[in-house]
Amino acid sequence: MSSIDAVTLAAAVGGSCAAALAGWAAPDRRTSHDQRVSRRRRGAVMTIVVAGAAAASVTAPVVSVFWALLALNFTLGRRENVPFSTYPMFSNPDTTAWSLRFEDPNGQAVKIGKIGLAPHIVRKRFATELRTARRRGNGDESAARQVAAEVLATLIEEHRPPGGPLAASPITIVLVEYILESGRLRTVKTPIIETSPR
Amino acid sequence: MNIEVPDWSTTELDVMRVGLGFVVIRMFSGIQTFRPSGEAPFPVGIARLLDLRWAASRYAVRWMQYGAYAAALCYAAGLVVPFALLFLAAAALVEVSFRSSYGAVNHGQHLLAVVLVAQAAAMALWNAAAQWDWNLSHVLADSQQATAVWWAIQAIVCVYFTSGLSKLLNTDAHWIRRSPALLLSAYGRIDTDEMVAKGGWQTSRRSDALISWLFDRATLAQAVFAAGLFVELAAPIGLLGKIALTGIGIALIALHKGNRVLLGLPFPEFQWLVFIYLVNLPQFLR
Repeated sequence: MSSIDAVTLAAAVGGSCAAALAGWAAPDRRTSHDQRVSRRRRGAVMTIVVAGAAAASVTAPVVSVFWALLALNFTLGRRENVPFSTYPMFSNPDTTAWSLRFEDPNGQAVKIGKIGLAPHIVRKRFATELRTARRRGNGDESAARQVAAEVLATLIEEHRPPGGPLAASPITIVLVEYILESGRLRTVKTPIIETSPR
Repeated sequence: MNIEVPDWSTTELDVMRVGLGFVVIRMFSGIQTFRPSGEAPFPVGIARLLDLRWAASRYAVRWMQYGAYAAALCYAAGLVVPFALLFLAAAALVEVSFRSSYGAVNHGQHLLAVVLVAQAAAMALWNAAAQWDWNLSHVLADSQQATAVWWAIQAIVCVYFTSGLSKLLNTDAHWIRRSPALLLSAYGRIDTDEMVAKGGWQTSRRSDALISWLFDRATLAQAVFAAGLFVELAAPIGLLGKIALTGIGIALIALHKGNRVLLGLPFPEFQWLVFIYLVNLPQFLR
């Protein structure tokens, strides 16, 4: 029985690595028609992956947990049902990225870490608030950004120290977008809101 | 080539147990950093079925933390291990589901939840098989703890393979071609690092030069990211034996080190768990 386990693993590794190499070699087109076709193709491939993993979990008993979890990840994990996930982080490289900057009146970055706010947590909070605002809003992106930034402004004022250079200085929340255009980087900075001590 | 459940010495199993206890304490000591209230905007997992708003209260956080510390210490000491694991698995599930439901997805802690659930399930099945004389010799190891470790290793390997497969599925296998775009998020991370109190900013500026250099060399950038993808996709090879497991473990830690430099993502929980279960240093001290 245990040689079957090795065969299933070899097939999984060999097949997926071959697909990755083939995809690297083939031209990459991203038209809307291609995307519709690719959605259908993706669904079919995912079905094959789930069915194959479920079958392997029965036929390859020594590594059955690996196969069962793989099948569950691509069925239950598609909607992030902890502990099942497809781990989609960085799985679809986008041609845009963004970050938030907190700037003083001179345009210098404010070290919000010094007032007890972790920048990456604040970024996640903004993303969460932005998604919520978009869902509740009427499609006005700048209004949604304003709503999300107001939450962060409140957070900053709650953490503002009573003394020192950050006590009275206005802080501007700036959205920075990085866009990949024809292999070149373009940066767009959009100030969203300015907050002062209340 | 036959696959068998690896044979771990008592020392190896003890070190793994203490190591997992350490990672659990590390995770639960930092769970207060993001504590929103109100209705969860993006319920995931058990949060779709149960109201987890109680997990936002300071009282619940403290209770979960102290309970996890006690359970982790019991687990590391080998006392009431099945009960300690059940508590830890439940607490990790609640914590990760709660945070993810408010948009703070943390796959590092997600892996810990996967390992704890796999170990709890392994222990439960092993005890049930022993109680009712089920013949599950292919699935279970000789001892309760070896079974838990084997299941945890399979779960870790599966997480990496799933991640690699997702990259292929979501890009119609063109992930390597598109991968240089990932460098964009590195610029965003440098902005973020600039606002931390100290330390990270200087490190970021150093990697900034490397990122800019790679950005102008798309083929080389593709090759760098391809290496990472192939490490993820080759992770199941580790299940062939202990030496293969160590090799894959070292490659995965190297992948995380590379991610730290290029994308600013260290994923310490992943590195710790890979180091404990896959690299398994005590095997070389016999």
